[in-house]
Amino acid sequence: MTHFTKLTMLAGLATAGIFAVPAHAQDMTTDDKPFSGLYIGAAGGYDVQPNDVGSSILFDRNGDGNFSDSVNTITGANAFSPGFCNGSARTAVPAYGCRNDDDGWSYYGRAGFDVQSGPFVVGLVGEFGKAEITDSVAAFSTTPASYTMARKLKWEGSVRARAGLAARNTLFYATGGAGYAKIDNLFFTTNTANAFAATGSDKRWGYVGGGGIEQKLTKNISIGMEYTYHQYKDDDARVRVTAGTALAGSPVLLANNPFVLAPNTSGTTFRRSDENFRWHSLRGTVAFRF
Amino acid sequence: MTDLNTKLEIFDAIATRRNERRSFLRFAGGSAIALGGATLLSACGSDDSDLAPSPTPSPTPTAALNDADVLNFALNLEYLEAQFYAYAAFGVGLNASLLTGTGTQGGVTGGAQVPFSDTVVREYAREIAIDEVAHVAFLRSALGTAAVAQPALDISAGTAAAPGAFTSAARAAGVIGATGVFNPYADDNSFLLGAYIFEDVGVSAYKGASPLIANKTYLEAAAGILAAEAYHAGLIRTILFRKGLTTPSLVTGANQISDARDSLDGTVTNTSTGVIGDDDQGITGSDATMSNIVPTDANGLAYSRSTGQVLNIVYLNKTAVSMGGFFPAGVNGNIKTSAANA
Repeated sequence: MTHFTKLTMLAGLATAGIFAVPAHAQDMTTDDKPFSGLYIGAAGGYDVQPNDVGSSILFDRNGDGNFSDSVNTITGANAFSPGFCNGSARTAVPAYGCRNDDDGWSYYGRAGFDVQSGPFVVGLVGEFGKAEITDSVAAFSTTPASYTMARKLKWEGSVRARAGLAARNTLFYATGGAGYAKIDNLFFTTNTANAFAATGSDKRWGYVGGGGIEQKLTKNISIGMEYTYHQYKDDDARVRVTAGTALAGSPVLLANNPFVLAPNTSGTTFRRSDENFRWHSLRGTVAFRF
Repeated sequence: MTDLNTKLEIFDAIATRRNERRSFLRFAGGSAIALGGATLLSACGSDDSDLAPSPTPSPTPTAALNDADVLNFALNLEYLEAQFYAYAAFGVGLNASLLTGTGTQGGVTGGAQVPFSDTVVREYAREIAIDEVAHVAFLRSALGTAAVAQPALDISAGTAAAPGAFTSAARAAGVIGATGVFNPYADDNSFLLGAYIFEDVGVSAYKGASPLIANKTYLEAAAGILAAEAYHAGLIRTILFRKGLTTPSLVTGANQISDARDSLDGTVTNTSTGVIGDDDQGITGSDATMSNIVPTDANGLAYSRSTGQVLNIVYLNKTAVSMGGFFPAGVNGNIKTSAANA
């Protein structure tokens, strides 16, 4: 609910900003092609993630590369019977719940150029920045212990095409292109018996698409509002669970640990069920047009 | 000849029958070494502490007991038995290398070599002592780094003014008067009664804990220890009955101890209805000439005691407490509280 409130507020401010000034702006810009040329700018706003209810952690117990196994205790009971949540675990037990995924502010710099022919505008924009968002999923074992796998956006760059229609000094456009992002894969657990090693490439290709409105205020200054959807395939994060030092020194504990039970005593591998890092972004923009 | 290991070497010849058990030990130890090499990295992600889980607020949920908890509970009892028998048979306690582990390590109060006059009793004592020390070594090996340390033990007679655990137990049972002192190391008969206090408890403890052991490998090992404890209890009960034929006070004392254990573990025969509800039986049947060497229920099954009931007896307290009697500072591990039977 908080996110919707922030988005609505942002949209209201941006809309008010755009439509409050046209009469004044029109007086200052009489260019035939107000959107042609190079520009540099900045964008900032609030990024939110779609609901990922039902996401979980999947397990490969037998080492065959398929994440379709259950992790069982020595008695055959499901060691993860307490279940999963689509956030980060607050504590070791499910009763204390999970934190929601982190949505957050975004701030980008951008540069590009447009070519205008009549009302038609096409162009390219390059953008670089970051958004304070994290996407987590947590599992709870009967130990009790919790296991949180998180992906966090460190930075994102994109090159997008823009195409739109200009109505005098107002441009309505669609945009889409390739994105390249650094995504950190993180792992947290309250399990102190086993050893955990997290792996996974952290630079991913994806795509960005959306649309927006840009309004020229002066010959050189424009502001706007833009919605974009971002999606990156992030499917190779793995957490390898093996016997920790405490287990290795105790044959009884070792012989009863669900992650290293016979026949595969080498360990268990985790991966996330949701393979994509997705988010929506609503930003205000400001540009200086040369 | 100053420590138990030295004395044990004398009896190496009879240890061959334990080869099978030791093979198991080697197997268990080998798997620990093999997997020790596979230990990998610790958890990562230190740059995002906001995502890290917090300690679970109180009251924290109780983790389910695992096999290590159960075997550690048994190890506490084995420390007690091993020290008692080792002192009685050899005059020395366990080697210091067998006492370390998690929890608070404690010393032994009391213990002395019994001046045996009967060769049979002396040999039984020697054999049981070696078995009990082997039980300690086996459990410690299986538990590895998870093994608890020996807690403080009181196996002393004490004095009339400051009674030790054996004297407290004998007074409570009525084996001696309220101001008497019971020294289990005084002679053959005292030793047999002292041993009798522990023996049936060990059998019922292992049987009662068996459903708590999940791993079949260790369940079988525990069954092996239970069987050894049952042999020990059977021979102590047998020799008490045999000697009791000429020394009736031994039978009386054993039966009083049995009743005292019933009182502590909360399974007392209803004297008004006559319904037998006890989990413990003396060494004679309906009359003093009838033996009751094997205490069983109507199905011929030995009795079980819960961990709480076992602790009632070794703490010499029928209420829910965490220390007392033979364990003046309590036991180490996660199973430490006696049952509330008062």
